[in-house]
Formats: sequence, C-alpha cells, structure tokens
Amino acid sequence: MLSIKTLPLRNLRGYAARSAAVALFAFLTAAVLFGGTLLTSSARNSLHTVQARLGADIMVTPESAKNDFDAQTALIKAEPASFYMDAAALEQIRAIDGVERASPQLFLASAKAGCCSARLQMIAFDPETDFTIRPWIEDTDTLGEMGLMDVVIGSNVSWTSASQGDVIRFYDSDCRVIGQFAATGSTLDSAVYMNFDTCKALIQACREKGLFKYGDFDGERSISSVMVRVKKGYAAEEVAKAIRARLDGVSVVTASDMLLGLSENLSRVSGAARTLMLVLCLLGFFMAVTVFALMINERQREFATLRAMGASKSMVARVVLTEAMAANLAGALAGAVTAGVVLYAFGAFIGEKLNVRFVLPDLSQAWLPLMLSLLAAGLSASLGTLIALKRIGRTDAACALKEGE
Amino acid sequence: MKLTALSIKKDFPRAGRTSNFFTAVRETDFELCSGQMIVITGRSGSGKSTLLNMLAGLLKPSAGKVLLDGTDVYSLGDRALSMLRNRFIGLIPQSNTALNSLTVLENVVLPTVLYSPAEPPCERAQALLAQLGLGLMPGEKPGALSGGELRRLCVARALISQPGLVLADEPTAGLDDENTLSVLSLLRKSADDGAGVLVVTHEKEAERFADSVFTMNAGLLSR
Ligand SMILES: Nc1ncnc2c1ncn2[C@@H]1O[C@H](COP(=O)(O)OP(=O)(O)O)[C@@H](O)[C@H]1O
Ligand SMILES: [Mg+2]
Repeated sequence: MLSIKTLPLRNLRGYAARSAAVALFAFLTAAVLFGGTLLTSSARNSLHTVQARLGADIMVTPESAKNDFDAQTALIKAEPASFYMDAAALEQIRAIDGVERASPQLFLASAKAGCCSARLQMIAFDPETDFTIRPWIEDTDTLGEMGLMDVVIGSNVSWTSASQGDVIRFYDSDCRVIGQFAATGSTLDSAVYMNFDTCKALIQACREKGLFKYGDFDGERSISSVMVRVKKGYAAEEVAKAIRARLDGVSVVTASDMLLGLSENLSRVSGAARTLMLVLCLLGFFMAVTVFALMINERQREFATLRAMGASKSMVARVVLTEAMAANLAGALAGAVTAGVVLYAFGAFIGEKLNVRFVLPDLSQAWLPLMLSLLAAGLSASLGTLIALKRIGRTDAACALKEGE
Repeated sequence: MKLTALSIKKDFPRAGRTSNFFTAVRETDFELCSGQMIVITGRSGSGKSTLLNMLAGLLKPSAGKVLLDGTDVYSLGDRALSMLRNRFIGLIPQSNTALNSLTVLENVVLPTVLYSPAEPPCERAQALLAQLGLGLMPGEKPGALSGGELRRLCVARALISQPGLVLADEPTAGLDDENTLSVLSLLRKSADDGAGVLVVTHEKEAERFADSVFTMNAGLLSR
C-alpha cells in the first residue's frame, strides 16, 4: 500500500536504471573493500602465524646445501630437500654469547616413487631440546603423545585411511598420523613433522631401498639445521653475525630474513588493494553524486511536487536518503557477499595467480571487514545524497514548479 | 476559512546587478474566503504565479504577512507550515508535475498519505478522475499521459483532500474547451461546497465562474 514509508522503494523500482547504476557501484566498491581487506588481513595473519610457528630467531644450515635450500625463499617456495652437517655445530652455537636455546632438526625429502605417499619435506625435531615444533603440537588436537613412527602433518598434506588409522607412507614404512596443523599459508603447510627417532628410522628405510644418496650423512653425528633462540636484549642480527664468525661452512639466516619474502608479498598485495579500494571508493562516491546530478531537474520537480502538497523538507530528505541508502546497502551487501564467496571458493587459485599465500579467517571473523565495507558504502551514499540535496535546496520549490513542462 | 494577505510584495534580485531589485508583485492586500471563487487574469510575466505561491506558503514575501485564519504562515517552522499546507491547501502548480514511479491513482491520493497512516481515499480519487475524463487510466504511469491528461491529474490531486482552500495556477492550460469547462465547473463546485478557490489564468472563460475578478498588470493587482 502507498505510504510515505514505501515511497522510496517505489522510486527505486520506478527508476530501475538509476537504482541499478547506484547499486552497481556500491557493489564494486564493497566487493573490492571487503575482498581487499579480507585478502590483506589474511596475508598479514599468515605472516604472523608463520612467524610464530617458526619459533626461532635464527636458523643455521650447512653451506653445502645452498643449491637445494634457500632460507630466504624457503617459506614461500621450496622443493623438499635433504642435507646434513656435523652435530658439533650445535655445541659451538650454544657457546656463543646471546644464544638462549639451540635445537637441532633433521630434514629428509621423500621420494616421488611408489614407496612414498607423495614427495614431501620431513622435518624432525629433537624432543630433548626442541622449542619450535612441540609447542604447536601441544596446541593441536592429537591422538596422544608423539611416539616412534608418529607424525603430525601440515594442512596441505593428505593421508590415507587404513585399518590401523590414518597413515602416511614413506619408503614403504607406514607412519601414523596423530594430528594435523592449522594452515599457515607457507611451505610449512606441506611438511610432515616427526621426532628424531622416526626420521632416523625412515632414513634407514630409504637407505635399504638404495635411494639415500647423501654421503655426508653420518648416523648419530648428523643434523640438518640448528634453530636458535636469542636471549632477551640481544639482537638476532648481532648473534647471527657472531655465529657466522665462529663457525665455518654454515649459512646463517635470521627469522626476519626468512619472512622477508612473505612480508614483501604482503606489502605488494596490500599496496595494490589499498590503491584499488581508494580508487573505487572515490569512483563510487562520484558516481552517486553524478547520477544524482544528472537526474537533478527531474528530481527537483518531484521534490517540488511533494513540497507543494505539503511534504516537509525533512520528509523529502528522508525519502531521498532512504532511497540512496537502500540502493547502496543492497548493492554493497551483494558485493561483499560475492567477494566473500569468490575468495572462499577460489582463494587458492587467486593466491596462486597473485603469487600470495594467505589463510582466510573463519567466516565468523569476517564480519568486521563486512561491517566496515557496508559502513563505507552507506557513508558514501549519504554523503553523495547530502551534497545533491544541498544543491536542490538552493532552488526553492516555487521556482521548480514554474519551469515549463 | 480565510486567507488574508497584508501588504505583501515580492522583489527578486536582478541577475547580474547586485544592488537592483525587480519587483514581481507590488505591495498589495488580498483576501480569500470560504465559498468564494476569485479569478486573477493577467499577461504572462505579470506576477500571478508569484502571488499565488506566496499565498500558498511556498514563497516568502519580501514584505507583508500571509495569514491563514489569523495564523501568520511564514512565522511557522517548515514542518508546521508544510502540515498546514497539506491539511488546508490544495495547490495546482503552474507546471505539470507528478511522481513518475507512482500510478495516476497513487499520485492523486499521495497528499492524503503524507501525514496519515489511514487507507487512502481511492474511491473518491477514482470519482474525481472520472469527472475529469481520466476514469480509464488510474493504473497508468504519468509518463504515459498527455500534457492535458497530466494537467487534470494535478487538478484531481489538489482536490483529493477536500481542502479549505484551492489555489490553482493556470489549471486549464493546454486543455480543450470541453475539459476546460469540466475543470472550471469542478473548481466552482468546490467553492459552492465551501472552499475558498483562487484561479490564476488567462482564460477568459474562467471569469464566468468567478465571484470576483482581479487583473494583474506588471505586478499590480487591481479589480
Ligand atoms: N525566482 C525568480 N527569480 C527572479 N525572477 C523571477 C522569479 N520568479 C519569477 N520571476 C519574475 O517575476 C515575474 C513574474 O513572474 P510570474 O509570477 O511567474 O508571472 P506569471 O505567472 O504572471 O506569468 C517575471 O518577470 C519573472 O521573470
Ligand atoms: Mg505563471
């Protein structure tokens, strides 16, 4: 039924093209705002997660591994690798001023051959001294303590179900999957985590198959890397320098070096997103004003008609504002939802295309960016409307009613 | 119901020159009472619409007062003045205006729903439209109407709430003789039913229906 409350909706339907234009720009603005914010915050989250998961301030690897392993890019892009050095490095590092903790890790790449589930990076920690992986295992739902031949897998690793439970197979040995880490958006998601004993057993299995080709591996005496935590008050860079000076044949990188690639990605993405968001917001805003200005004569006469029959100025303003709000919010909501659906459905594909790794937040955490983009759409709608109303206000109703047909 | 204008005049600033004013309506008194139909004739540009708009509370006079039953209408705030206009004044503006997103019938009843949640008087609207020869097009959009049909829509819209005052600015502009007669008869009937009716026109025919006739000449109102 006709009433002053339904008038805005009737007007929106009556001027479908105008409403569609306004809604379309709100759609684009909100889609970019919401998608951009979500993407940026996801990339940032990913960076923080990886940083936390890394858990160490410095990573020491053998210099001889240079061809297989580049610590600077390892978190973004890495082929599984195996490399070893003498465990003596561990004690030398521990002796250095500023080192609080140091723990060795063992790496092993699985083969592509049929004896392995997939080609993956295996990362083993020393249960006695580890401070980087175990805290995460403790924070993850696992089937009890990690024992021999137990593994925790990264979020991208798939397993097979067998009669004895979930398993993953390396060199024809079955490992029991006792848990899976949440995604980080880094290569850490494609790794399999285990303790030293398991790794050594797998190396033995690999050897027996004649697939182990690392002459520098010496059973008990070999490790792949040393993860270092520096003492409070020491700069990681300084301690890294000291390690470089003391040890020969090692490459030493700090966590910030390792994260550099990820944070460069982040600033690239957020820079692009910010520019796009700004451009589209401005465009949407000018669009709202322009659409309004284009229709101004027609609208002016309509408003004058309303005024002549006794509608107050505030009543007319309310009608116009409601129209703009409804068109913009509907467009914005559709835009944000579309962006969300696209991101959540095709996130991996988009990440690959943009060369960004990100972990989208739970949908429940997406409401803040959603509200913000709706707010932005509503704000630009009201601003555009107010500007247009101000223009209309300059000519009085009596004038508008006199202009010819 | 009585509409009184006391010494009202209207100056418009002349475009270009800042110090010079152009007087569209010279100082005049005017009175419109219930049951009375007044016709003001005059050439185009003589100030008829300016006077009518001042009386309708849409255009503040440069000097003087407009009183509606003793209330100085321009002393009221916008909301109060708007409600007053909605309640007591049926205005037929000089130009044909309608809301294009509403149907003809909805345009006619629109004044009645602005401040009231009550069911709009569709039957009365339908009857008015029939009297004005628009009985077959209540569901059309104004965009589909001819100029003359639109004009009659504006007449029906002004009369829908049976206002105490009807201010009609060239209500028969663009109408053929037959429709001119039916519009003027309808306005006369409103006066006979107790409304105060002011018709501004250059249609000679209108004078036949009037209780008194004024002439506007270069802003000067005279008998
Ligand atoms: N808003 C305005 N600003 C300046 N001049 C105006 C304005 N409205 C009307 N006029 C001038 O006042 C004079 C009277 O106009 P109007 O009352 O519309 O005449 P009528 O209705 O008798 O044809 C005209 O010369 C017109 O140009
Ligand atoms: Mg006129």
